[in-house]
Amino acid sequence: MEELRIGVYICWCGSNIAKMIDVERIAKEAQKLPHVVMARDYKYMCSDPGQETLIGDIKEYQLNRVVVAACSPRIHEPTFRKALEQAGLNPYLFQMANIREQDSWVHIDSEYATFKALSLIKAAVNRVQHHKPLEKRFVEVNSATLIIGGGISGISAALEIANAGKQVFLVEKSDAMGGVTAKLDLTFPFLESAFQMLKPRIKQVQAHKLIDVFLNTTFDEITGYVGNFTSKIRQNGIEKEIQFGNIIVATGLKPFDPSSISEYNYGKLPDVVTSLEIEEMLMHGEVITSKKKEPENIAIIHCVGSRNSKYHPYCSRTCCSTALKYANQLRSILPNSNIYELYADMRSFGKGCEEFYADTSRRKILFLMFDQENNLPKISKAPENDNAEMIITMHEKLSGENIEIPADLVILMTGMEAQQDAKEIARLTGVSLCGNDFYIEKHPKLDPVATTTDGVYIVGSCQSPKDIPESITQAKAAAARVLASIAVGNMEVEVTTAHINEEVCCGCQTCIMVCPYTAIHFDEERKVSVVNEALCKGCGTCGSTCPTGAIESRHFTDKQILSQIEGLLKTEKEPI
Amino acid sequence: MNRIDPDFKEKLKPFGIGNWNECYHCGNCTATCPHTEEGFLFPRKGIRAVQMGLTESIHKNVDPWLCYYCGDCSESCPRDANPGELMMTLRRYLITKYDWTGFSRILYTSVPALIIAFILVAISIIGIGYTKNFNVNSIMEFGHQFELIAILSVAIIILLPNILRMLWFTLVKEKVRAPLLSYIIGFGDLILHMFTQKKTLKCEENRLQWFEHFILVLGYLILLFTTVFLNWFGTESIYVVFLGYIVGAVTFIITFLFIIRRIRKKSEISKYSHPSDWLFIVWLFLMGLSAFLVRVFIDLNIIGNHLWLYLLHLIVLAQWAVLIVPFGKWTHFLYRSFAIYIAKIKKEVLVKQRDKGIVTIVT
Amino acid sequence: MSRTLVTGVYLSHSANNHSHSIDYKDIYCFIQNVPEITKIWNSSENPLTDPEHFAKEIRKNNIERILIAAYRPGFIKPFFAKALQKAGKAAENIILADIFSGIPDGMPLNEWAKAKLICALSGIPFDISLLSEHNPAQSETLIIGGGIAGIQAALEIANSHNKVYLVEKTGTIGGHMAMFDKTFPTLDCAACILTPKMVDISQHSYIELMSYSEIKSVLGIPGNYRVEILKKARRVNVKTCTGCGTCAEKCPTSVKSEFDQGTSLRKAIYMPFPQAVPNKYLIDADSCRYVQTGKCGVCVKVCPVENCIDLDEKDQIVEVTVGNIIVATGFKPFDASRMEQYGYGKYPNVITSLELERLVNAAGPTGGNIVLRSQDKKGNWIFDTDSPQPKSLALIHCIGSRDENYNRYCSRVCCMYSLKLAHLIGDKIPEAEVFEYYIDMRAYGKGYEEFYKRIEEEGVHIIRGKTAKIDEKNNRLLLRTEDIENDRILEQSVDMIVLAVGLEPGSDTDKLSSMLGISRSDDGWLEESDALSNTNQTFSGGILLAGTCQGPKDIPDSVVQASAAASSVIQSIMQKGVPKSLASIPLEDIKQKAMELSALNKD
Repeated sequence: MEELRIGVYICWCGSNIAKMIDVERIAKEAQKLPHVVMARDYKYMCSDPGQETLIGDIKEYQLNRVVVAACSPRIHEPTFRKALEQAGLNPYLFQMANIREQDSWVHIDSEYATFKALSLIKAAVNRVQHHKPLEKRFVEVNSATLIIGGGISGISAALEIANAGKQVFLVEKSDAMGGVTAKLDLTFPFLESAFQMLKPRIKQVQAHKLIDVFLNTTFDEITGYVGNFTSKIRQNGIEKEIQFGNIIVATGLKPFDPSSISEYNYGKLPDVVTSLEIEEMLMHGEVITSKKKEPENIAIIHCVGSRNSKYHPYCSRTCCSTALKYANQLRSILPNSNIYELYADMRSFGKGCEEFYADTSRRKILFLMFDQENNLPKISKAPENDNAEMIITMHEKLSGENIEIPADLVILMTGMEAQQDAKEIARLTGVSLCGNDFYIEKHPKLDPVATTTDGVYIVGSCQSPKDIPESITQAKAAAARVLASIAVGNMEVEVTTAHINEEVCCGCQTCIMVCPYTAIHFDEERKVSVVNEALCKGCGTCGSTCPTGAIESRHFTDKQILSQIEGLLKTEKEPI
Repeated sequence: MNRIDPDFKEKLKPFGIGNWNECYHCGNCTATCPHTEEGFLFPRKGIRAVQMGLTESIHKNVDPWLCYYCGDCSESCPRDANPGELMMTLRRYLITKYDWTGFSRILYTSVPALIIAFILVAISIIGIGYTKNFNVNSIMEFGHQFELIAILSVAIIILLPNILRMLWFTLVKEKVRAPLLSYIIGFGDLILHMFTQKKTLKCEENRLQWFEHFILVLGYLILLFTTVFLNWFGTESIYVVFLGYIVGAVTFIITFLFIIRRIRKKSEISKYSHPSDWLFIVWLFLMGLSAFLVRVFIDLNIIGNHLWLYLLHLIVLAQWAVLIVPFGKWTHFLYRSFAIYIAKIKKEVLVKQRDKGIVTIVT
Repeated sequence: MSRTLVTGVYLSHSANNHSHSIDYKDIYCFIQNVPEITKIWNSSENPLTDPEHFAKEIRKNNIERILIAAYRPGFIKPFFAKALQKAGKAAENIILADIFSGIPDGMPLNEWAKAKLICALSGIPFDISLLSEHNPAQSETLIIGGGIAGIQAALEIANSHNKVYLVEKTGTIGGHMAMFDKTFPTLDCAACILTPKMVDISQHSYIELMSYSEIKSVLGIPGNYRVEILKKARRVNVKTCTGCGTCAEKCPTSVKSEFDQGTSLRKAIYMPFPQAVPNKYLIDADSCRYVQTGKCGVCVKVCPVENCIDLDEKDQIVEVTVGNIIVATGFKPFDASRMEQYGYGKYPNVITSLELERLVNAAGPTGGNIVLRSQDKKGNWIFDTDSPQPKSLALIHCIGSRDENYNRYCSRVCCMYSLKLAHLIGDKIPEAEVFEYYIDMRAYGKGYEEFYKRIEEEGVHIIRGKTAKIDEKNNRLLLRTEDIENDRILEQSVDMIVLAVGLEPGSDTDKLSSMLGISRSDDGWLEESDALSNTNQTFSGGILLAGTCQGPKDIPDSVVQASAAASSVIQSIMQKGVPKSLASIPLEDIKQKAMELSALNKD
């Protein structure tokens, strides 16, 4: 065992630390600690000169452990680890003491702050003595990509990756590509043709030599880890094995079934239709009632199954603008009809959508507001003598009146919900679900297409309701990640992983239950748990739950942590 | 439960420009208006009633008459939905609603009918002139009597019943139960507002506008008085003559200014002009001017050989008295004052109900 | 369809901002020469009143397919679907050719219209990455703008081990997101999630950060752009500056801090904010006493580092060569003083949402303490940590948005950030009464509606109605609003009013758009080449859009779009290359390409 030679560095962080903590004093104190060869304070350790001093010292004093007391490791641990590497020292022989965020910034008594800083440094010095060098590990990335779902998101992702010259497996459970988009006539807000946008893309996918399309295909299993997945897929009964490095989940949405809403009598009244049903009528250029008459009065009801705690609490994001689209289409095909939009809040937020709303209101569309949570409109059959087929009764919020609306055709703007097999796909791919069975992203803001499982991405409406442009953009965003990983060819995996001492493991499998990354499996022969280090994120959950103490988390070993605590408690609150 | 009537918007078209479909009900106009208060929320609710065709609530409301059209709401409307002009349009519509003869509806909705009516009046005046073999004195004699008779008959046969209809729609039909006293006291305000229209002052823009109107109303009424009761054209009294000249001049000068404004279309309120607006203002102008000139000719003693001028004056006068006063914009003067009266009573009832806890009004 | 269908064309002259300069006759003749087209309806002679009339002619000419050439043809498509249906033909066979929209200024309109017609007829999208040959792409990428979109795009590309130049015009990256306190709907603090990414930028070996720099000129061809970048004189050496801050302590001149939205003061030599990247000081020449008068130089004297500050440093121009350019120049907040009825700038305690963001922020001028503006000795209004807290606040939505008098569009984020601010106010001043005045509550994103409900339950008064005006009455603020849902007029007097200002295109969008040949929407946002299927691409090859420069967006949407732009870049480097700019492709080539592709597409 080589002799320990620790260097301690205390950063002023300009005045951030120095004005609250007596850094020179600490430096002197640190000098006295066991194994500390040298300690110094410096204005800005992270600055280039600061790092150069560090590197210089390591060489000059043959330091083999380094402690830097400065800001949060979140910010500059990578910086100093790099510096150690440059000085030819293993980056993990380093410990940081956070004396800014956890000390100088949050205390007003400089005496105490200085004392606390010293304790933190002692803790770090104690800990770093037990650090072991760890080697960075990389896994090769298989350049093929699996895409689950042949809707517009899946198609876009496939083209994006294949056009970069990389293999794609596109797996679709139904017998055709296109998903919901294939059922649409026009798109909002510019009423462009969905067909003209989708058709050529599908053709491209079919023609592309780098895209293998599997229709009517399901999964038996998906195994492996980022860069190296294997899957058994089943196409019309025949099982096939494919290998790939990344997964993009694009399983899309399922329209809400309105028959559960008693007020709307969907399924009972023949002329109450869903948004997808009216799409079809419009596509065929024939909007007529069950009596084969052109409807004089048409009502479009928003928020069907959305924004209502009885059905779905969330907003389906696209219905408002889609409803405006229908209003315009109906105005064109039935110029003299009366069109009513029953809405809650008009959420036409997208680019060009508010203008779309304004222009639509110029086309003699009557907008009526109802309470989508507590007081839904009621659709009932009109009495014989009435010239309308149905009567809608509602409380209109903008006038405060209870009103009666004649209607020959009612369109229900059904919201989106997660696919039935969402849970199944989640289990196969290791994706987690959020409250409403949509897939949950790694970070809702800064990482919206990645998941907690490396190499698995979620795009389009399987993550939350989306319109076409948003889905396509997400697909490309995921493609960017996939392509980057392929371009580099390998990726660094966590080195501070869990390690199981098989002598001690009793095979209770508690760790398997608690592991959030499904990184541990059970070896039936040897009756012990085994960690897949490519999947392990080193969160330490298994280590802390293991009853026999068989699991040790690298870089967070019991010894390291205990000695750190010891160091923390060693300092008495005496004038130092 | 009232049934909505989307066609009502169309029915309203002839009474004014109709782009209030755009309104998305942010309530900006109502909050902008200095005249809105609890129980009287306009213009937005008016727009809503029109969009949905809630005719009942339109008929029972006096809101449109409480608007003095400063134009603020239209200027700041985020959807250019023109609430101010809608109020004006509703006023026109309500006039036809109150008018039992139904004649005003024809005049408002069909320009040809309007022109024919005016021509007929003109012809009959000339006819009368003919029967009097165009003798100055006898014609002027007739003219003087005619004025008296016209005013009285119009007031009794048309205006009075119409006012009663207005009261019927807004109070009786609505079962507004107020103590007799408040009906009587209310009359004080009624008269006050009728002659001062002082509520206009609430609209910041309107200070000057109000003054002009005030002077005009005053001038017009005095002109009426001097011609009808002091027999301006007949009198020898220098004072009366002088007074007549002043008010005559006041009338046609101010109206002239208004005409110019409506042509320039600068301010919000003079942007849109319905035929009825033109009619009102131009005829008032012609009346003031012709009366003025007639008296000038009398004083120069040349009216004898310029009978045409008096005939012209008489024609204008007749058209004014039998067409514009009973059916045209002149009635604003009346309905608006009564609207304030009605509003006052309604408000009292509302407040009482709140105190009794029948209705709760939170502010 | 192996055989091309007999086609009838409806050519609409419907007006839009271009149509006056279009030669319809020329287009008419062009259409006539297409073999499968047997019938052309001119909108001038054929009003869309009676579908029967069209049905007859469809039968007569035995037309199987209709092409609608118009501005926004979709709006009349259903009419023709009906006509086909009545004629007993398949109503699906309608092609839309939106031939007059999305055309960059100064382009030959008719040529474009024809190109679009050809594509529509041959059933391929009007997309330059399909229509044009590709130039090989330089592996370097230029990203303009260091906000969250620029940062995200830079990291995505750099992580594919390709060089990125990130150009930011201010002294630090981070953009508007760095100014926010917390972010909706998860309420995690903006700095906590953003600063690590900023640090990544500064430490990434594939990213060269050029802060305090601007684009001067762009030359060359797609895939190989030569870009001149103006490096404004920072007057502080980024290499040697330790950021100790002694210079700022001693600097005699103070001016309003841009980062704090003018709610606090900074020195002429300053660091925009403590976590700025690069974490170094710079000198603002406009306020520096030395630069202006030639007398001062205190900072130089006190600076502990040898010749770190050079007050006479001059701007310099560097040239880089790049394959792709990503524009991520972001937005600027709407100037609330334009709406006089709200008295912003007149009443000291009417503030903008962004100013409140700084106030609630722990690193803000008052250390996260929401206080009323008070007058200092000199009589100017300042936020003083010790001055009293507002006990009642109102937030007004849609300031400058959804308004024909200002911006027609919806700014997309105001509803949510207002709800968030309402929550933060409740956090800091639990006893405060908070009112929200809105028109439509646009809580459309993932978890947004749930957030809206939560804020409602927290006791914030959420009122439907747009406040019409604000007055000052015995030094409280009085706002007048119609409370639509409760059928009453509200005259609310509060201590502080927050205006939820909308988003507007950044000040230099105009300059950039002409430099890069990108068209702009009527509102001034940069136009994508295809609003439906490609919100990144422009008609200039290798020039991509990311974030709010293309239109208002919230953080997740900006981030996703930035990554998507990165994808196109990585793709072009890996193999595909960069498409030529549409302006440079002759119509003949497009025709040629379209034919080839449609041949491929036949089944």
